[in-house]
Amino acid sequence: MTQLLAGRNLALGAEGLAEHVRRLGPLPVPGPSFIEVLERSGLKGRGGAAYQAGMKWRSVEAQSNGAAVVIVNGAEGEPRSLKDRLLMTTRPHLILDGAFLAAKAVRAKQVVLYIGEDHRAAHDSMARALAERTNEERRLVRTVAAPARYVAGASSAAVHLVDAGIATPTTTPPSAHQRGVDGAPTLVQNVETLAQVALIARTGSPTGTHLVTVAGGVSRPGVLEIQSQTTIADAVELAGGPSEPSEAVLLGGYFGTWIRAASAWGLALDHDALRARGLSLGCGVIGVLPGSRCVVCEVAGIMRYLASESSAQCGPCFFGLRALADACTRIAEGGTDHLDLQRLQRWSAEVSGRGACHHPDGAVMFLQSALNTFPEEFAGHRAHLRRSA
Amino acid sequence: MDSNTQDRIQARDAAFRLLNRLTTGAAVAALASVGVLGAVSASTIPGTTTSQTASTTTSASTSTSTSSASSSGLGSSTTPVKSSSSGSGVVVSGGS
Amino acid sequence: MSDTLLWYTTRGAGAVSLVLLTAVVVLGILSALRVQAAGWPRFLTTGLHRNLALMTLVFLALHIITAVVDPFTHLGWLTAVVPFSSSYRTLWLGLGTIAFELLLAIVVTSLARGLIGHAAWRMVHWLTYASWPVAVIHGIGTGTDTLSAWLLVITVACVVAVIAAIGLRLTARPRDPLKEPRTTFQAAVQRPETR
Repeated sequence: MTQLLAGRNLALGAEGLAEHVRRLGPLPVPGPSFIEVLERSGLKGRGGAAYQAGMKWRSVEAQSNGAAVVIVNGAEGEPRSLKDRLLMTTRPHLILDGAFLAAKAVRAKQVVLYIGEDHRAAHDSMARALAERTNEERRLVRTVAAPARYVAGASSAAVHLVDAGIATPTTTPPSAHQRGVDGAPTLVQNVETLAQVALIARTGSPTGTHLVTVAGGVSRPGVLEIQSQTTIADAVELAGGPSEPSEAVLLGGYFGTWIRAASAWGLALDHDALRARGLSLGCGVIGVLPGSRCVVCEVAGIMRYLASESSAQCGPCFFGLRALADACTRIAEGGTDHLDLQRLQRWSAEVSGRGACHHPDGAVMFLQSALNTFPEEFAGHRAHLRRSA
Repeated sequence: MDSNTQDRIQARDAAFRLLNRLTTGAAVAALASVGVLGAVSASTIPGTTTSQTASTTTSASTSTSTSSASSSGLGSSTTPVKSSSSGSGVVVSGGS
Repeated sequence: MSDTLLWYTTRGAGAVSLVLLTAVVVLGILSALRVQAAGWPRFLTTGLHRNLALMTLVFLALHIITAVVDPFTHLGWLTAVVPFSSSYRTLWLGLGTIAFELLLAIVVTSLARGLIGHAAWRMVHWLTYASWPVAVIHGIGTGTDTLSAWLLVITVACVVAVIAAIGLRLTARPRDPLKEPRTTFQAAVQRPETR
């Protein structure tokens, strides 16, 4: 069974074009039914939203008159995620294959590599890989640095940067695949999704695997390629096991959901099974919270981060998230005040859906998940004694 | 509760007390002015006595004690949010 | 109660009502400008605006009651609610009735804002803007004291205060609390060379 990370040892760095072709064969030319193949494969985006890739491609192709744009999203703005960088530094040709397949299938005249500006190794690897490609392919491509801000990784922010030189998220509708760069339909796809496409073009079906980043209280944090029947416990074991007993797992990054560790271990990392429980793999980060760290304090810290990452384009997000973060911090640092708990509920409801983009919604869902999963911890939190460092 | 929060709560309380004092002061000044201006108006009409100028009208209570909760509860914080990029407890001690 | 006392009280209360109403208007304008300082948060301006509006109504009531009760004026209670129904200085007094009713409307609708909704309240509040100039004109036209120094000074001071506040409103741009953080963020994510 093919895997994304199959091939040479990852520690050896990027797989060159020759080796890539030797291992997998040359890049197939996508036939007119390739989008149908993609649709039938059921491939979902790996950027966090799990949107059906085939549907996006179908939509862009339908409105494309040869001026469509493909944006390869390697921004990886989620602080704990490493998978996109790993893919870019070790299997760049999988990503480029996927990008050029997309460009042909949706009849795009431009491919933009949107790579996080701090991800130097990934940037260099993609640049070296690009240099190995054909002239025709290289002519299509330009590389653009994604600013190192959380919201800059969002599709609309990527489009906005390429289109207008500023990576602030925009209101949708219209979404990128309807109207994007220069008003043309734009396909924004995560690098992992495109890597899957490169394999689907050769084998007819996706690998059935996902890349996840196991982070936090584990002995060997890092990226794993797992199958849908892999459980969270399996993934944590593969990452060296917990460094200390854990009570909480955050699945899917900062816009993800909290799970009590006891319930989390047996959970299979299968999209549908997770969906049925109101969970999602999101951007693939499995965050194991060490038992010595307090959930309430962690949630407050992450809320402060998300509030500070607001693009300040609308009041509900900028002021709302700040108020929520402050209330969380008051609970974390001073102990629970029932008024603050009420405020968290009230303000969450007032912020949801009122933002110009989905940043505040993600933050509110994160907070709600924490409040629903750890109600006793939030209801009875007491201020900790000062910890050194 | 940190000193920041405490300061803000105290500042809010102080502002409320100021509002009440200003309102009361305005009421007292207004009442007094009715008397003073009444007396002044009396003295500008030639021929009238100014003996009964003290206002004996009962003062109406104007304390409205509006407990104005801040508009929608959002944005009451004025301290800048400290940006902590490693805000998560999920510490990455190394990548692969 | 002495007739002249009633008469002096009417005039005194009328003048005080004008001053209070002027303060209400100025505070309303300052609220729109979102002025604030250390120790003076924005809710202080709006709070004082509301409190003084209620107070204005109280002193207006005093002004109206003493005027109607005063046998010398021959004003019936009707003149307090039906504009232009008095025989004495019909026009000018009628304006006073209108100013009073506009003020009554805003206070009542404010107290019942939960029932009538925000949009209806706002409309009434807009109409209230008219009550101040109408009150000033009523004072000038009805009063026997118009040209006496004390009321002249007070009236002029009130008019100057409101004109100054309006001037401030027209020239000062309201603070956009998002402007600074928005520009800071945009500067961080701007890459004009990518265009």
